[in-house]
Amino acid sequence: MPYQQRLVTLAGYAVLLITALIFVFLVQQSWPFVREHGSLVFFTGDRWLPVSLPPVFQIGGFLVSSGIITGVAIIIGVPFGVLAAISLAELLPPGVSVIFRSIFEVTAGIPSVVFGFLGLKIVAPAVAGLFNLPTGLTGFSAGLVLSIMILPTLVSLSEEALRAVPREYAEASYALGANRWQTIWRVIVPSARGGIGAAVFLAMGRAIGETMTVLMIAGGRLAMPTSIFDPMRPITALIASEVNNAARNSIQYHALFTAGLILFMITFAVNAIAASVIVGKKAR
Amino acid sequence: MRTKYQAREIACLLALFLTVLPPLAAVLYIFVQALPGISFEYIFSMPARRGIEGGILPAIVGTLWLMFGTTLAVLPIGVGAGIYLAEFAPNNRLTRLLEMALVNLAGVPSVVFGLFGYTIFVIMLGFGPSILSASLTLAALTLPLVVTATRQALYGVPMSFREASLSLGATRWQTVSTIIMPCARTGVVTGTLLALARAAGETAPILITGAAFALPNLPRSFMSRFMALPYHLYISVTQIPAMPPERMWATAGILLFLVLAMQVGATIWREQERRKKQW
Repeated sequence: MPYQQRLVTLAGYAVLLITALIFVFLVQQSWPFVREHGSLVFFTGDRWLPVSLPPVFQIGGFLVSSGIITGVAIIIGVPFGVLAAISLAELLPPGVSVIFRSIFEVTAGIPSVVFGFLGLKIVAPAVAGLFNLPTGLTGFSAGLVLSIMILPTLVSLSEEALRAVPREYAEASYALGANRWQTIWRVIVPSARGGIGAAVFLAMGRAIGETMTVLMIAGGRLAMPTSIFDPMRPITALIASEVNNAARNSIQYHALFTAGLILFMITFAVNAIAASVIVGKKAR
Repeated sequence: MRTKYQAREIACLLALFLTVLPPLAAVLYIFVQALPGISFEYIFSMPARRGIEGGILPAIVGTLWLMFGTTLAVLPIGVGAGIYLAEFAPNNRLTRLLEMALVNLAGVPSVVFGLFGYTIFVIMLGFGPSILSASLTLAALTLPLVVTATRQALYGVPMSFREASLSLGATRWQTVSTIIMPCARTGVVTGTLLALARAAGETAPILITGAAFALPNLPRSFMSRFMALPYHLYISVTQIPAMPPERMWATAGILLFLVLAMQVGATIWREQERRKKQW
């Protein structure tokens, strides 16, 4: 085997190594916190008091906030995303679809800090005015902006799933006298639901992991949210906002790494579900 | 009855229109708002009075340094791994594990890359808060993008090219390096450009690996601390109440222009090359 081939093999395993290292370092840096303070209350409580004596670290409120914001993004984004994908795959001529597809590529390229800035300047005041709230910096505003950010993922993968449905299905449906919409809605969309499901889970993974937008728009309140119109702080925003101020190797520092480890495991699980849906479809 | 179904198709198209409208309007709005704040002085001078006056040259130069450093780090590993997966990886359990790692690496939240980069590069390897640490962190973040782009580009080269080369007595490595890679070059380069556009806009990974809000001079080496456009925008917006709005819009406009120019450039180039293809 020539040495160049050995080198690319090594590069391949470097990918495996880096992924493993991320997990290993998160566990290693979390361990001092887990060993001394690890308990179920860490997940269920909503008190986060890093500088009190004794300090209290509970991430329940942040987990619920992440869930609410992701939920809002998915509930708003998925119907639009799926309908847009149907338009691109089934209704529009290919030449027109290409233009729309490149617009989604542009959306995917807008940095999340820019989305956060726009959300702060435009979406938050609009939400405050529309729902008559004291502040527009709420979980709902963050979810609304995220619903736009996850559309490229949703639309491109859903479109791919719709296009992968064998042409014979549609032809059989037309032969039985169904019109175009009946064929799309009753035959093509149900046949593509595995792929569309995977798209939804991948979009969910993106929404959970999104950091700058939620850090800037969600409002940052530490308590357990009681409504989607509360200011809140999801788990990514917690880490980004405190990690610079936490003294290295303090208990707060290790608690933030523990939050990072939980976040890593959640996104890992969501992506694994998406991958298993795709693999399951291929196997069939 | 027909009209009922037509109404549903029109609703679909309306949804499509509503999904592309916000991002398009956002891009346009930012560029319009940014114009008044952009001047020769803003782009080419150092910040003064903690960023409230002067320009943002160090942020622009810092972002370029980061992209340079990220490219140096991610290209050999990313392209190498892409070649390995497409051309050499045996169909066994270890390869499937590698594929799984790749998918999961692509799904890791950017703030977690920040924690990882801080632990390994800033602390453990002792690079401190620096361009080097931040570039390596961004390289880890963009690695799955480069690997996937390389692999896709190689998959796009017809199998008959490999068979022809091998039948003439070339080794597998000779085939890959002299026949297959040149055919896949455009895909690799454009994929890397798209990954770098992503890196240029990331904030969370550089937040704790060395970015600073305002520095009086340009970075001197990979070990310097640095300003970067996304981080500068984030701090301006959230932590500097005295920051004039037109300066924030200008920073956002310059960042967006840089990122979109790379994206659109890479996409157009890819389409042109695709049209030229003979196979």
